[in-house]
Amino acid sequence: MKFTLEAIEAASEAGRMYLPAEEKEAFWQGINQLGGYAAIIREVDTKDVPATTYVLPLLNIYRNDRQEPSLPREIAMANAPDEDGVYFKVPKIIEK
Amino acid sequence: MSLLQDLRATSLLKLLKAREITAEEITAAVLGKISEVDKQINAYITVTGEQALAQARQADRALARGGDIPPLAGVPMGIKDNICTAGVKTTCGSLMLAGYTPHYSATAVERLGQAGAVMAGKTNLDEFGLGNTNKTSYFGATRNPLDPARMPGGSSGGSAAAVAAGEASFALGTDAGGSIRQPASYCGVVGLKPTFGLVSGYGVIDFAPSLDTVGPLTLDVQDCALVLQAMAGRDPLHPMTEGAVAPDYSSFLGRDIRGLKIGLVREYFGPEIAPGVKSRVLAAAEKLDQLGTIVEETSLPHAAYAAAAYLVISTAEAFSNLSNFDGVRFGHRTGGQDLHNMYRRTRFEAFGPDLRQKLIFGALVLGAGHYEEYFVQAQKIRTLIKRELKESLRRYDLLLTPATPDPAPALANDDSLAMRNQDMCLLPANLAGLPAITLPCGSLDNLPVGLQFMAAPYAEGLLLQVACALEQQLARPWA
Repeated sequence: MKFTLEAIEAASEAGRMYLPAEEKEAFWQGINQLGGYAAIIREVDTKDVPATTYVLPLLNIYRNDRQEPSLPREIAMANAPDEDGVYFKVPKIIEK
Repeated sequence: MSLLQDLRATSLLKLLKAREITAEEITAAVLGKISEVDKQINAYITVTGEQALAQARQADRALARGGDIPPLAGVPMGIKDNICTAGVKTTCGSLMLAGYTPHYSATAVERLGQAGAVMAGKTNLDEFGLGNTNKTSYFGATRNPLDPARMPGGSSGGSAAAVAAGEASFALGTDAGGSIRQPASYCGVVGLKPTFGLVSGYGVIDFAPSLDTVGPLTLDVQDCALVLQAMAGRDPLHPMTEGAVAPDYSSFLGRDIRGLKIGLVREYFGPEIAPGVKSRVLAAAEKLDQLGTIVEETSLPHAAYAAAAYLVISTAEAFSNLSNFDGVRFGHRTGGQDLHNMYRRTRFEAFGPDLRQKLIFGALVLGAGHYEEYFVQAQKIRTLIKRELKESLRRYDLLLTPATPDPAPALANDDSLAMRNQDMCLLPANLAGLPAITLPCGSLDNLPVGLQFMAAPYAEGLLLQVACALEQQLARPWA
């Protein structure tokens, strides 16, 4: 089965990535090449086989219930593309 | 001073303890080598010269004080640039993090620092580790020091190249799908992917958390044991290490290997493997036989599906894991009139096209129309491969395969399908979480050929024991 261009456009949107017109053909071909490569797995009979997500059981490790210092604000902000010293700044979200 | 000829950690430590050289001199020599060759090789994204010299002087002071000397005191290392280093840029080979400086170090880096190792810099990689050529780095491709017209492999290609070129004594890599072992093989060095959960992944910007592990690339097996020792073990900051047990790995080296049973995996000696590679791996198997091990053929019937299953699982995990790179709290940002467009433009501009294609593929296999057919099916195949390996490792102490089907391909090679197959022997260990080591076993057209051993979970000692015994029987004409 081939992935349609519409499906690729929708997946790009789901991944919040702009997909310019000049890349669409190359992406369609590249992604379908990946799909063709992966399609071999469909020929395996996996009836009654459980899926493996992690090879180890996921565990919670509890630390002592002790207050520890928070990350200082200036360190938390140090890599921000835009900030005002208190908040991370982003383009306007709510229209007036 | 003249550049050091033998950068193995064990050799350097002998010279340091005998006061025949200082850590500062070693570091200066390595930094000199980087200045000399790295314009061509491009193994490093960031070189931390001043910091390295300061760490080296600290190691010299520890050596001068005597007493307990840290196990890697004064040994220069490279750290793959997807592993966080406090105060030093950690870029993941991407424009997205080109200006990112973490405020903390990964546990593996902390532990190596406590062991006295000196960080020479951060090594180049495929963007976010998704690749096996080192050609998708925003900072340019790395070249193979043994032949600069060839690729070093990836994604830990910068780490492998740095070690092979004498730009570090050892380096750290990460391995979600052969990313330590494949470049190690192409560059003629030793690469170890530890058991999933043996080495803490805290502070690693991984793309596939169910597959990725941190491990060493070293000049020989003895060094591999030393570096692993310094990193392995439980880390309260990383839940996957809860069961980690790290015995004295060096104590396995030199132990008798007679009577050990080694399974030669039939599926990895087929037509995809270059005849020259096959013959060298089989010659190594013959040597193992002469050393008293019992080498027999075995089979992993679902091995043929490992690469496709890996592709689906790894891209799906990457799609999810890399979703937090949105230009808000850290990383690159491209302006947009509204928030949604800022996300779209940022991720379009800051991720390279190869990475974006893989992320879109990951989104597709997770989508409602394909989830069962691709993603769940790949996870079920993971179960089958895990079961087969477990069964084989009940009958054999180790499994033996080639590391890669061919020696290092030409840098100009753009055949993505052929490159995907270069990891075919390495992927089952990731899918099953097993430890695996690759080491050079010969050469073909003056390029190294590697082999791989896999073992049961936490059997790194056994891997190192057999790899060390074999290494002592092998010449290194490419070195």
